[in-house]
Amino acid sequence: MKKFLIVLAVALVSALTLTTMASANGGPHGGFTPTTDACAGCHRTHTATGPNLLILNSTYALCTTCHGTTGTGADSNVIDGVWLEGRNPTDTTGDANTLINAPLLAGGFNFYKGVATTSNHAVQETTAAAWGNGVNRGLTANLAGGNMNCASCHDPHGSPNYRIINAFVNGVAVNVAQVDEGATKSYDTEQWGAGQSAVCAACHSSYHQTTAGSGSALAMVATGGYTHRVDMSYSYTGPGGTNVNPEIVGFGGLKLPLAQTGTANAVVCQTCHLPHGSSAVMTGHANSGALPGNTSATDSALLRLTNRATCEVCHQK
Amino acid sequence: MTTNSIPESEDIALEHSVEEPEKEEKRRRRLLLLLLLLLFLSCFCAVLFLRYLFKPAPLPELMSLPVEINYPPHYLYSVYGVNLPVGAAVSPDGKKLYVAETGGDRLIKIIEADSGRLLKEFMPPNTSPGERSPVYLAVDASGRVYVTDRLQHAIFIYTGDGEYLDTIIAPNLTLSAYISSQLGGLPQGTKYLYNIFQEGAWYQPAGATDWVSLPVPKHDGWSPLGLTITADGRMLVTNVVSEKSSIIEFPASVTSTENWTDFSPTFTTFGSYGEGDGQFLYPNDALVDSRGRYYSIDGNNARISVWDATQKFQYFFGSGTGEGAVSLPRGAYLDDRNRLFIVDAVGQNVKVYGVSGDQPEFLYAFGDLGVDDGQFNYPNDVVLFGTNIIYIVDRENNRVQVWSY
Repeated sequence: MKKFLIVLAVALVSALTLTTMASANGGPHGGFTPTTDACAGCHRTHTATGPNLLILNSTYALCTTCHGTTGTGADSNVIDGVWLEGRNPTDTTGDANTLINAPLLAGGFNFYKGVATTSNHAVQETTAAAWGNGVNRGLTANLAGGNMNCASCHDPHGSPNYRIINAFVNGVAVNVAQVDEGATKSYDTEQWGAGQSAVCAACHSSYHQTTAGSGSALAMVATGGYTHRVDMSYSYTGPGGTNVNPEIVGFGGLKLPLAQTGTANAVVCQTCHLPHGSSAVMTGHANSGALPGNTSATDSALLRLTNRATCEVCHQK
Repeated sequence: MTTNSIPESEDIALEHSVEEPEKEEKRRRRLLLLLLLLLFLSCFCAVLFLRYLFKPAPLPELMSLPVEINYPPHYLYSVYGVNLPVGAAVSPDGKKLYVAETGGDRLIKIIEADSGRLLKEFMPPNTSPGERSPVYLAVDASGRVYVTDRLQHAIFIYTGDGEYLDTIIAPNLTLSAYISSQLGGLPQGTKYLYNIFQEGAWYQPAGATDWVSLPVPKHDGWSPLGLTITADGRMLVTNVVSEKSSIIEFPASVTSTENWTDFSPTFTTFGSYGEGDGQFLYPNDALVDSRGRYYSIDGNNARISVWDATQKFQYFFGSGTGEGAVSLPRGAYLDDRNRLFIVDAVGQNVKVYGVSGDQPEFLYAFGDLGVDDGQFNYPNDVVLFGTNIIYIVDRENNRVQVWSY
């Protein structure tokens, strides 16, 4: 018994020490002191009602207590997909917005740009399956880490990754760099570091095709079919012409964000998709329930822009 | 020797005859006193009964005796039909309960306090659900309702029946004042609208059908969250502008004015963004006690800070762990008995402190986690009517709980 208590004490101290060492992306998420009282804000050692010793069994309810539409404890309002406060114009690092109520780069769960979402990630413990999880791109498969909630992607204790994205998502190591976007950035066209696709691919693994020709190569059929490549430069020159820079040039006033890789800005999953939720509208051919992830007549599959504007912004056909 | 003595029995009779009137008088006096006492008690009961007829309320509420209630209240009932409610206020007569929702269409609901019946719903005009986020409310002495809106970065003002009146779009600017300044006066009957997402202000002259837009009014440095109107009419607002938070105290003229067309209040600010003394992170409310001391309900620093009547920082309390410590303090209310009620959103209860002395004293907490009667699921606000009826906004349980002493 005595040994057990000693081991338990060492484990607790180690856990606290590790937590203290974790790098925080700002706010109350991390940077804890050895005598912090912050743990009790979310956890109970012996009377927890949710997994991970959480006070409650709803991670979503806990997170949105601060990050909800009321902004009672944070500026990042994930329900409406807005950053509530403007950034300090003299501060060119860190915050990634220029105006109050700037749209969040990840979108919102209930609203985006003031309009109700037409698709969002199911983060209220409602599903354990993800499209393209595993080898078959057309089907859903259960996640290794159980049902999805906010903590599936974000680490509330702080993380070296951009936007406190977990160091491991669904058991897969991810590394998302944060990049200083400069004084003229806006949240809609913010450049964030490489590695964003890996966050999505941790669950939607079969969509993570990075080799050239994955949209046409016959070899792709064996892996489930052709698919758009990601993690490559936006620059493309072919029979159809040359792509424009979707972040700077765009098309018809519409733009898409790229990941800043240092040498060339890359197209990543989040270039076309809003991880939280999107209010894009799908009509006609763009509204086909047969497509993977397109589960209802109004489902926009998290696409950033209405119909197939995500295609046109780069390809301009 | 013979003696002329009175027989003993006669002696007693004589005594009786002397003392009888005196005793009788005493008895009469006693009876009279008793009758007067009974009469007084009857009158007192009659007064209580009559008052109860006009204002039904439990006995402690009716008694104006300085009773110290240092025991937790008990659960009465819940008002359902609200979607993720976060803030509440009560009309001066206690008949209307105003509740701000963050779910569904994000409305402000007027609920009949006695019956829980929905009377009316209202919202900032010209806004869609994704463009509004009503949070905290306060009611002035004449019954007008003030609502902070986090997405609109403004305080909307309505009549007690939910009719839109005006918007405070900056600490020194209302919508009507802005339009008046643009037009060189505000003709009677002019209507006006504001929506930060549409980056403009509109007005409609009396009798006209078209709306006219005006350039975007300046609204930097204004992000109201917590809201309190004190008994003497002052308005306290927690302004949670990123890294520049402060508490703003507006004079009573702001809540006593007939309209806000000439809006240029002399306001004071105190406190700042941070974790040190006199600082706060996302203060969800600010209050004043009977000695003039100010309290900030410091959500993310998990504590309550106190300033003296000159707005000089004194100390904070409620931090750390153990009895009386708060985890995530949100809405709060200070009643006439200097009892400070604080909703602890993740503590899942309401903590009550006595603040009549030099130092605050933790009295008790009530409620715990759950979905049953008297249990909370991320409560967010508390408001009292009088000193006895307590309304607690129970966000994730989609209800407002009513408690009483």
